[in-house]
Amino acid sequence: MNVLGKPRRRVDGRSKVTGQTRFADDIVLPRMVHARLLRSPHAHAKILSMDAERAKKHPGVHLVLTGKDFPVTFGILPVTQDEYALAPEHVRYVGDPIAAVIAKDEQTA
Amino acid sequence: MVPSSVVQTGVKSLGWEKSTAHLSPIHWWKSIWPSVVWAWKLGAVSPMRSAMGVSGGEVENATPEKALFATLSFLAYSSGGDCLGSKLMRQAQLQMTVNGEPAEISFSPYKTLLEVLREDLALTGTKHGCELGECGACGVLVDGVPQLSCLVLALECQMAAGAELHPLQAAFADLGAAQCGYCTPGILLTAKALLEKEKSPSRERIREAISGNLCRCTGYQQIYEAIEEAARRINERPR
Repeated sequence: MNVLGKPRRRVDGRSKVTGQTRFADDIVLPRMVHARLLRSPHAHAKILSMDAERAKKHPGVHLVLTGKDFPVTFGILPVTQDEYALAPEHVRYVGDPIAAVIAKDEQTA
Repeated sequence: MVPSSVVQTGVKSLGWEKSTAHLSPIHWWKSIWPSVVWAWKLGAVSPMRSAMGVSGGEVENATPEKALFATLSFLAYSSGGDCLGSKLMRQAQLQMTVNGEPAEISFSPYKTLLEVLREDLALTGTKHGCELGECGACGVLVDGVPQLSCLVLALECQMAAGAELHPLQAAFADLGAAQCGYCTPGILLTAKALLEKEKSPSRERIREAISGNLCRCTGYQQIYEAIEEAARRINERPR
């Protein structure tokens, strides 16, 4: 009974306060590629056309993805069942991702 | 094509492409399970032994927390080193004081303290006996406590040496002021600067001081409380 109602140090407390916890951004791997997202400048708009040909030809670019490459909705949580990874035809907020560029480094992407 | 079951810990020559090519969960698990089992044994064996009275209270270092730490380190190192192909984590770096002299060592993270002492530091005065914690030949003093170095991971000594957290770090860990932990390093340093200027800052002053640090988890309440608690602990500390 001597633990009830008393705060306990969390199991990952030490690694958090000593900076030992590794976050995704802390991981660097050899030959890693980087992705950057192109985000919508409009809050509510239709995507009429998108031309990624020039980006695809840019040296160092491995892949350009748009909403057409992700035709199915994804959802882990019930509230995210109707979300798309990249907006397929219309965007719903400023910053809604519409395309992803995967390249040899972040600058290129 | 290499058959997928060939991917395992230690097959370094397979390199990056091939191990990631087989990176389904089952292969990942296959590639790391020997380390996990070993880490678990190391962690579990020591407390068991002291519970049975075999080695008395000598192996105090092996708390469940440490066992967890050892397991996690193994996971991190083995998956980083072998599974994901990272070359960055292959060697562990560690500073400690050995026989009164500062030593900076680079060693494979799976090594026991015994192996690091004998092989990496060439201190062969520590003897290699049964490697099971039975014989006591490998005994060393870690922070004044007799330990069987064949049952202690060298990595654990990083915790032993300089294990004491700054009061701010301790308060943050104790009071849940680090939730996801991403903003924690920045806030700790801001708070340290504040506490160096003011011994007992008011809530208002704390709020102002850390206004440049964003936290998206805690709602700041726990952070304010932890900084106040740290100030209290620092002020109470005997000088």
